[in-house]
Amino acid sequence: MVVAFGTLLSACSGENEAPQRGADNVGDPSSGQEEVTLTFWSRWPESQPVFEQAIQEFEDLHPNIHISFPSIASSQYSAQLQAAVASNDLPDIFSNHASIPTDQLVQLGLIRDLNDLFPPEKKAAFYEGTWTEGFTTMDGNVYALPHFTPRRFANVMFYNLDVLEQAGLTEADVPASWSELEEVGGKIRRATEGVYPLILGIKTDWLMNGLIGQMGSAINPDVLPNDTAYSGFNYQTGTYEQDSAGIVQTMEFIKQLQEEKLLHPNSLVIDYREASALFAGGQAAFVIDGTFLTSELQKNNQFDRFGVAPLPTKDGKPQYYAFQGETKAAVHVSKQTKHYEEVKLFLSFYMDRIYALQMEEGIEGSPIIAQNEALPSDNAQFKQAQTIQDETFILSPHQYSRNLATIQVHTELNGKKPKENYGKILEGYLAGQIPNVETALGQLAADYNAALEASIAKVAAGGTSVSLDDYTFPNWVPFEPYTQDQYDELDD
Amino acid sequence: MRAATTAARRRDGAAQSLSGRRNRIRFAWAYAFIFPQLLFFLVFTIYPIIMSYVYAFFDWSGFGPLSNFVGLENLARLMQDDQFWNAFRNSLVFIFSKTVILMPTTLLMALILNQAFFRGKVVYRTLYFLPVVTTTSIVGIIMKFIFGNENALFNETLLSLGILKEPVPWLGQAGTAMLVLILVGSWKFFGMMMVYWLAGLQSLPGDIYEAATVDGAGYWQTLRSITLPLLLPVGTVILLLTVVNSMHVFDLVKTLTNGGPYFATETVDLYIYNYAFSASGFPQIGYASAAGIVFGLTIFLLTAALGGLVKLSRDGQSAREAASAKGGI
Repeated sequence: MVVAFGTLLSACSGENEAPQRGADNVGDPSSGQEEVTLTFWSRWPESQPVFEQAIQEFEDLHPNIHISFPSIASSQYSAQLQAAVASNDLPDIFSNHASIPTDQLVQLGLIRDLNDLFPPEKKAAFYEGTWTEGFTTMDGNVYALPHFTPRRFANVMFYNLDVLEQAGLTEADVPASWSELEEVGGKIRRATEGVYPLILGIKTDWLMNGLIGQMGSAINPDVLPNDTAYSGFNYQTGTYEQDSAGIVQTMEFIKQLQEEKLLHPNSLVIDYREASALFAGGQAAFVIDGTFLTSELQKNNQFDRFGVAPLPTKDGKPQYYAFQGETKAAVHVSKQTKHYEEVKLFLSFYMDRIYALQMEEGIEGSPIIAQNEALPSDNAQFKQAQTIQDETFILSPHQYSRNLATIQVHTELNGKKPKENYGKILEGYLAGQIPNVETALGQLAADYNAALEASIAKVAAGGTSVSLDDYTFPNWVPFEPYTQDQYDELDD
Repeated sequence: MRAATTAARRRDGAAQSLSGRRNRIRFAWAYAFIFPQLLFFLVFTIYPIIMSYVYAFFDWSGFGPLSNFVGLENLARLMQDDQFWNAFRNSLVFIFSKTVILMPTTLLMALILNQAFFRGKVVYRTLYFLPVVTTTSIVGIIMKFIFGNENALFNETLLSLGILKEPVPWLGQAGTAMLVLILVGSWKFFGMMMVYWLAGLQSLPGDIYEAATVDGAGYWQTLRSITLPLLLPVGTVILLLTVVNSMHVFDLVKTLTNGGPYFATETVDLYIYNYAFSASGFPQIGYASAAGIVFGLTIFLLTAALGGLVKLSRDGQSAREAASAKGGI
């Protein structure tokens, strides 16, 4: 009876079972019987279901490896990461965050290089600009695995097909220019009850910074359009120019939409998620947001009656997003991990399966070019958004690639740069607190230039060779991808 | 005789030694019970306070060693930052307005609910107390919808009553956003203050009221000459508690206005949070600590001043009681 009971127990317990391995498990560290738990922290809520599915699949393939994947609110991620760094208790694998960039993690000896995961041929499979110093690599060593395509996210305009239909409009009427937006907006106002043409989540600064910069790039392409600390910087002249005509006119146009009651009045007090919810609820015909909204609308809002278009610009001219090699979404591996072989196994699986699943689910494009070109997704809106995003992202120069010492300037600048940004100034302008937007933007540019000069001076005073010349790229032509040859040309 | 004395001494010595041992055991137990609390106090109160002072002298992001000593640079930068003084002013406006609104209204409500003839007191007290136990961040989120512009409850009600012709962006204008913040903050703390006043009212000696009734004093006379003077020490404590409570409004501001529009409702605690846990860019723990110290010292001074007021009112009452006792004799 005891033997029978023992047999029954061992049958119930999974520990003694032979792992079910696939063909790819040859040389697999999981072939040993040691139970291993890897901890993985993520900050991307849109990827949550994909991670859950992928982790399940991975654990089925490698029964002795368990992935602990606690749920972390993305708004709290920075604080949690900060606490983990302070207590030297980082998880085996964790998402990056702007609050602690790669160079600091490397300097503090907190992350390990992933060179053996990325032989040259593997690296070549990724988009140009993926392996940029200061972001994914330091001194040529790879320290980050990209999570999404680095060419994310472009700001695009989503249109609600139901609202267009109510107003007697079709996709052909989706505006490409500001005047068309006003014209179509007027028709929507007249034809519907309580529906506004455009809604924006103005409380979300980073989104406003991106969209204002992008819209402004159709007027002043030399003023960098993105949502980094160098948004508004002119790399041809080496100065901040947030008060350029492109930015000023874009803000004035949004103000005009507000005055003409073409902008949803709630825009001023809501964030991007609330704006997209109201859009999905049929309260606005258009919302401007990142391409990532596609999957959020489909999954969170259960809303599928929408399409994606490029941002409308002043004269319908093209606009762009300056991609400077900053891979915003990536994962690092803690130097403290005791199970690097298992981590590598998981990261290899990550590149094969998680990238593909995200494509299939219409969440985001893959960092690997070939996977994107195959585009297995049959999700029409996702394809639409990815195509626009691909056209919008243009590789632009970055001072890190020219002089790595500029990372120190960036750290200094962080403590000196003004608290205002496009988003805050737009908010003040629409709320009536800023009467003259050009003056406010002029002050912003002056403060940024002073902060940059002071930061460079402080770093240079410490004996580091760095100057404002590192920030000047006279051979940069906006709308044309900036190449390694052009960097070399400057060094010559 | 000597033997008896010696025996007595021994007995005394033994008794003293026993008593000493008992005392030592009692002290040991006392320390054993105090120790966990003391440990928590040192680790979670004293240590963070000391460290915030230390951090204020460093340019530190919260990551890595404390190596970049900057002396008073953070403090100097803070003093020159208009945004900090704007947040400071907003905090003071909020504290002052909330206190001015709540002190008389909650006293009035407590006086009403303290009346013996008033029926359904428990129901009303519970109703007024409900916001106190509701999570502040949830209150902020709900109020944001109530005071929204379009299709929002407050505007829709005013529009349907014909008071407004078109929706007002309550949270989208600097003045009205601060007004909403103050009103919601006051509403949230109303029940708590009312309970404080009720506790004060119920602690007043009944015999004085009986004597006043026998002497033919009416309600207003009793209120003016007995209730309010006797409530003064309690009132100063309530004033202190209200001011201290009003200084910490972070969760409400974060969820209701997030400091907007354009910093119009940014209070010092939100200002500190935005630097300590920057969502974009690196955190600036050193600078945030400097702001925390300046705000902390202000709170300390304000609290000390109010504490002095509490002491003064208590001393005054003790003096009145002594004089009245002397007169009675």
